[in-house]
Amino acid sequence: MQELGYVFEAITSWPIVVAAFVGVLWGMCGGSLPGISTSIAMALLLPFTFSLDPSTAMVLLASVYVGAEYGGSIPAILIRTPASGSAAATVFDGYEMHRQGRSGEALGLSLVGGTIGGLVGLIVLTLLTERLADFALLFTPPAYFALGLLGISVVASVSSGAPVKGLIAGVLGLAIATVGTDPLSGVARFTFGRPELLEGIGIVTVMMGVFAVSELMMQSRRSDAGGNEQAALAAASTRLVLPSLKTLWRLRVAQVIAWVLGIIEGLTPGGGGSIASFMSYNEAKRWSKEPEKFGKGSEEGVIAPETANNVVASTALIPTLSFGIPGSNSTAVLLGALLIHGLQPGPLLFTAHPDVVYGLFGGLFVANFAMLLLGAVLLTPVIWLVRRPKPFLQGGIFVLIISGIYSINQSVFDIGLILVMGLLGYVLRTLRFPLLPLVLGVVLGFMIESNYRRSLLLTQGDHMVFLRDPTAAVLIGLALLLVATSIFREAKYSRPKPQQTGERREDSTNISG
Amino acid sequence: MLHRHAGLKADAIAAVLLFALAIAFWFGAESLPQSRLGGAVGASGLPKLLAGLLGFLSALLFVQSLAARPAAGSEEPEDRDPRAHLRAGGILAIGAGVILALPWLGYALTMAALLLAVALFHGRVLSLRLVLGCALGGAAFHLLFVELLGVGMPPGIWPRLLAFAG
Repeated sequence: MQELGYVFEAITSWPIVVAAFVGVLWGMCGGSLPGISTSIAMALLLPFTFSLDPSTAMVLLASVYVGAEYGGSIPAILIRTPASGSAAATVFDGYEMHRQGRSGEALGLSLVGGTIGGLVGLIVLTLLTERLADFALLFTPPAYFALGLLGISVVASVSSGAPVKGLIAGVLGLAIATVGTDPLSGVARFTFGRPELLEGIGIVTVMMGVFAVSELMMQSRRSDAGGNEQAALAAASTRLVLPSLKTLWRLRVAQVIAWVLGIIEGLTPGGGGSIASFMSYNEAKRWSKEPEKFGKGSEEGVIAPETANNVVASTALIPTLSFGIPGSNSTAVLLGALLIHGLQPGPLLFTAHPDVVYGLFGGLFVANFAMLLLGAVLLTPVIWLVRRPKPFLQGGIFVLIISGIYSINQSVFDIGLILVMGLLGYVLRTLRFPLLPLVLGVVLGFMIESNYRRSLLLTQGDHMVFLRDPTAAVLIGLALLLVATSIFREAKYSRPKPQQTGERREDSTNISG
Repeated sequence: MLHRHAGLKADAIAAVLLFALAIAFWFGAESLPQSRLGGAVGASGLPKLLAGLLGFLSALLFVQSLAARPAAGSEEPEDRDPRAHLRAGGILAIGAGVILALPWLGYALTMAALLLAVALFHGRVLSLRLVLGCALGGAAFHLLFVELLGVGMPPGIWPRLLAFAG
């Protein structure tokens, strides 16, 4: 009960409330700028937290995290530019809804779904942190390898209608992930002597290239290049549309899937929002009554990934606070802030500094409501902004892409790299290859390879380690089950029904586009 | 009928190119230096596996492109229009221009020029108002990234010129 007292104290404390609002606002702005990742947005505020008391400092930084996780969905929906890996799955249906003049609806779904997801994650964080913390310790290298396999099994499902092309795109993504220094031996692979490639090709570079630059190219193909579409968009309402309770109830299955997967992924250090959102998208499609709408502006396709990555924003704090294991760069910044304020993460943190830990949880409650309020106020002008005439909008997006990518490494080489990725995305889209498997391959490639080889190194090349490790065995079993279900569904859909053939083909086209 | 064949031909050409890429990737992996730290699989293990998979899948795509019949309406008219691809390439050309200009002109001026180039590319007529609007845009992005977020964007030759003049 004393813990709830600390939570209440935080909720009613002005410095905490102000920190939560400022943090969320900063996070939403930073998260929505391509290249300014969540961790950079947090790191930029870090110096300002030195003079704050530990509770307020932690709430400020954690609120940036919450705001940035949501902020990433804004450019994903409005300009097809996911600012982070966790927003990549939102692109497909979010941008499609935007093209249909339903931007306000898509942003409303992601805002409310994200807020509810954040609150669900927070409840789990507050009530179950100490009990669920041991889950993180189940993850050994074989289990991480299996987790990567589970993530990549989504390829089979998202390539419906074009399985061979989907698999090729997935292999290309994994191949891109091999560029750079080998995770075990340190050998430089496919760097062509360029030091800029030693760290590999960044996920953000690939995503911004294949999604955003290729979209600029696609829109430039016609001389009126989307001018009619832009005019139709300009005529559509710019108002943010929050989903009604009835709509939320209708989308309950997608949300529950996202809650469960978000909680599991959040507990897994390194799992992160990307896998959670991709898997939620995939499972929401699998369990949907209208799977054919996915890729064509499905509400479930927006709310599932957005809910999942906001659940992760809360539950990722469990391994960070309990063991001092940061699952991502963002939680590493939070961990750094804890240490700067003289707080040692670990089980003792909960008994030695309950005011800070439960004050942080209280501040996060405020942050989630702040996200809803600020989103409701700020998103309408943002929708208006992206409906400006195409020449100015495209120029602005191009500047944003180049500025964002340059700001990551301060390297002109990266601008060239993003143009190459844009060309790759353009060619693949023109040839009707789905892009999602490519992005998945890049996101999961390093995790799969490094943990596969690490596992074999520990067991002198014995592959049975993946079946002996219970977590790995369960995850591999799940991956096989998902692939088998997808193949079964694909076979069921592709039975001779001449009138449906065109529809399925169109579905895969939309996923790719 | 012609459109159908064009779609199949594109897939077949893509499959051949992907097969060539798979071969190049295999030889690239083969030439990687071996290290004792690489473990049982080595640095070239995954790339070789991927090259093999890519080769197999591209062969499958080739066979599929010969056997399959694509549904009508799965292509956009621009897919087969060389001028449309050239226009799309225009965006890349503008991007290449940014790479060349950025170290010389600096961030704000290059971004203003980029805004102007994209506006002209999409058919806007050059006018003083347009130039001023783009200059304001460049200044706004400079304020956001350089002044507010503290990102070290290239200043261009201007500081050196000013130092030389001073």
